[in-house]
Amino acid sequence: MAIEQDTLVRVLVKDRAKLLAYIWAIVSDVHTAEDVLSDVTVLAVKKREQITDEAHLAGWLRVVARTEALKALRTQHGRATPMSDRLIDLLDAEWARRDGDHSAVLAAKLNQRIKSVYVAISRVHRALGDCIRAHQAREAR
Amino acid sequence: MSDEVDIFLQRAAAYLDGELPAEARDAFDAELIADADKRRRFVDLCLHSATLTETFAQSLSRPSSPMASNASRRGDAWTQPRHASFRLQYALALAAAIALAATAWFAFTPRPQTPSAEPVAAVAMLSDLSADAAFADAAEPMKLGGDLSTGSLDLVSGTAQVMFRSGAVVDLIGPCSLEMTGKNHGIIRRGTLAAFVPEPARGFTVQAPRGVKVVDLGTRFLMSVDSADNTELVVLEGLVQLTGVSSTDQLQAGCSAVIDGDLVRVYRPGPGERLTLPPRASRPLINGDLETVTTDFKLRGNVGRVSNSQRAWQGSAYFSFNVGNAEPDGVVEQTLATVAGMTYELRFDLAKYLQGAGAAQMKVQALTEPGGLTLLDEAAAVTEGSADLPVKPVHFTYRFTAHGPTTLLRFTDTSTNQGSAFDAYLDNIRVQPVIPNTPSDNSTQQNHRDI
Repeated sequence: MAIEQDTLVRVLVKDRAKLLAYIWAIVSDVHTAEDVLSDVTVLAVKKREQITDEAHLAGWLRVVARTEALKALRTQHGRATPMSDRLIDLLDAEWARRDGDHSAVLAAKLNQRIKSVYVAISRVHRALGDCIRAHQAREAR
Repeated sequence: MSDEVDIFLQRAAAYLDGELPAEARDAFDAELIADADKRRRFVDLCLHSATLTETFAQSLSRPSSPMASNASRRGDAWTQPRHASFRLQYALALAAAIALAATAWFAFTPRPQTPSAEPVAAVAMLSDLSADAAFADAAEPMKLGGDLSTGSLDLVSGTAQVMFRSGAVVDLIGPCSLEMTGKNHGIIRRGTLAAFVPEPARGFTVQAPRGVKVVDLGTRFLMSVDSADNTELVVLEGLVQLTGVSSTDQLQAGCSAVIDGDLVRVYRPGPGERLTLPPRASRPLINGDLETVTTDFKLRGNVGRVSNSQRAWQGSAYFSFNVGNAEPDGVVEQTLATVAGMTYELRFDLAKYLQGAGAAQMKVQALTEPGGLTLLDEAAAVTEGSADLPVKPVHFTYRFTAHGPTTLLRFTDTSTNQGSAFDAYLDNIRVQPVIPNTPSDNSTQQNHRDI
């Protein structure tokens, strides 16, 4: 029996950051990781009939993400050599340990108020932007 | 965090940015294989980075993001296209294959806290709180990072920050009552808010009593509603659309407006001006050069306005504290006409006349009025005195953010000159609103002294 469509979408949305992180670790470039994540998402929807349930989906996504990430690296001319298979295997064990973590649990484990940190970072980014604009304005005079 | 961990994380961040040299990548690979703790930290860093990227994919524009800049500098043209909006691309990937309409809201909406609770859509998040923040009628303690559903948020005191799901960020100054009516919409009943609206939240709307509606078309504005339901609006950046009872107008950065009943008064900057505040707040401080005999400053204790053109470094008048080497207890204060939520820069000159031991020192305070809450509390001190004339001053600059239409500025003599022969002179006091993105708007200039 295939996974419910609602469940598939909910997991893809809920875990998109985690899946992006997994791919990013392999390809070492966020833009490539975003491309790969989009491809994996489309594949998951197309192959829904092959995925039985939520637990199966988590493993399926990681296997496909790994395959697609390495494929993307091979097709990008001049990119750095990918992470070794041995290291990806070891990291897979670490990622598997995070599978049960919802964001709140993750935040607690990291002992950080993550969203608030993000707000602070956003403000730092804004302040930096102001600073750069001010610098440019001074140079333009 | 130990230096070793710190260095490792920097290396890991460089790897994720694609900036780790090829020769270092093998070593990094081996380092991770050999150390389980570093693998754990690396995965943590990946999760943080990805969540940040995902959260701010739109609000942090790619051209100005460090990673995009790095890619651009490296000439990695292949990384540049197709990434204008990662979220949009992701959503399209989903929507192209399935009908999202029925499931997207469910997917994005937090599940109820308890099985028995009715599903409530969170429209905002409480993203910051001051230590003294207190809320009226709060069913349960407000938690930083907690979801907020539609309904009223009544901040009795302190300050709080709300991030709407659209990305609009609103700072509230208590007492303030804000009703959240949607993920990009609210109604202010009373008090002051300062709104920052990033690009994805454009269209963020705040309503006020008497049919007032402000639609943000830009990025930053201040809005206050007083006890008579009058609204004051100041646009700091970008553009807003203001709708009153009978008119609609667009206000650019630097404009302000007062909506008093049916009457809407708009104040626009003249040639060469960057900001025009409502007349009542156009001169926050009066007679700061002290050249005019004024009752705007209230003086107490051992302080007086002295006119002596030989000693004065500007004009001929200044405040002289501790005349006659008596107890240093002079106080000078003035009620400033301010705009709630506006940041002001306070500048003044302080001098130590004669060379007695100790420091000419002022306690510099900005206080809410009424209430007496501290907005600024600094000590300005000058230790090097001189008998040369005119007296050489030290320039001081501080900043504070007003919480209401008036703010009390107070200088209190705290000089350490018991039995010593010197005086403290104060002059050239200026208070100006800080306009975002001006070349002088640099946080490093806060609370400093220029000699």
